[in-house]
Amino acid sequence: MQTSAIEAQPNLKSAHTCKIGKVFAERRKLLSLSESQVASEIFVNVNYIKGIEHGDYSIFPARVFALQYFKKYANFLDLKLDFFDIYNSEQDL
Amino acid sequence: MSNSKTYFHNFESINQAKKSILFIAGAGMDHRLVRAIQLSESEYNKPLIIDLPGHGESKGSSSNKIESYSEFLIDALEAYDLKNLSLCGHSMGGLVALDMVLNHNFAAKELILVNSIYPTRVADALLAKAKAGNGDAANFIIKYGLYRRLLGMRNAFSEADDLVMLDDLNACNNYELDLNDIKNLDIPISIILGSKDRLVDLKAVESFIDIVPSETYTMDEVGHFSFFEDPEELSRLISMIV
Repeated sequence: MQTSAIEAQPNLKSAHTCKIGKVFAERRKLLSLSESQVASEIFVNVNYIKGIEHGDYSIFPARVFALQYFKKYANFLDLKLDFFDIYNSEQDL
Repeated sequence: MSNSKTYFHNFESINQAKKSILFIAGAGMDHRLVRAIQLSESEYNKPLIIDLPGHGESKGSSSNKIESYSEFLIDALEAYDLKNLSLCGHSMGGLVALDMVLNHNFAAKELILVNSIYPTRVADALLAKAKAGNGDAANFIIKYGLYRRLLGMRNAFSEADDLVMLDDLNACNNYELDLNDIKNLDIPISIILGSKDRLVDLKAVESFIDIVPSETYTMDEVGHFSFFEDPEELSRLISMIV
């Protein structure tokens, strides 16, 4: 067991993540689902759904959660989207 | 229930028609892990847990090998022809569960790792505390691992004047497996993590899920002790998975 500090996330929102988030939101609305319904269906905190749709990943405790929930939400909506790794990207911030 | 050496918790009234989950406690912990877990009685047997040697009410000596613990549980379960059994390991218990399915071909229906991941490497500072005694190690783990304020958390750990915590933590450090072997398992794997868990290495989680097909769930505002910090939410998640 390591002992690590939980650090506050830096700004984890970009034009690119916002653009991807809109794809999620549009597909969800097309399916007439609310954010809460999605959250309940895939057992994810509704704030994480909002984070993905708003392209703001600072809500996630760490990259691994953002990545997993991105994939889970994309699968649920049957979207073929790649995770934009804002955590390891200097560009587009 | 006890066979004088080994303590079996909630094994006295198993209904084979219901789902069963064997919980496996983390370092220095025992059957008290599941005292707040609530599963629907119509669908599940009561949470099953066996105290590892030298832990809780089981006699014997603790071990610095995960493999010894998994072998012990395999042997202990032999008397019970349990159908429909899933494994849920907390922290070190997750490694034991992994070893049971990987090295003993234990046919678990589901495998759930709670606040647990492979590899689990223990910080030197914690090992140093464990060398001083169980109480020092428990205090350290609680200090760094507990996010919510909980009175009585110390009661979940061994008070014995032995070095069970040191053994368990060394067992985590010593345990080696090949993630590629896990990915070929035909058992669904779920990982439940606390969003405020400072004792689980998230880089290790990333490496694990890169290789091993699995589902990840987060418990918000929870540290390393999901079983105590939010047993209701954990019970809900486990019921959803199994």
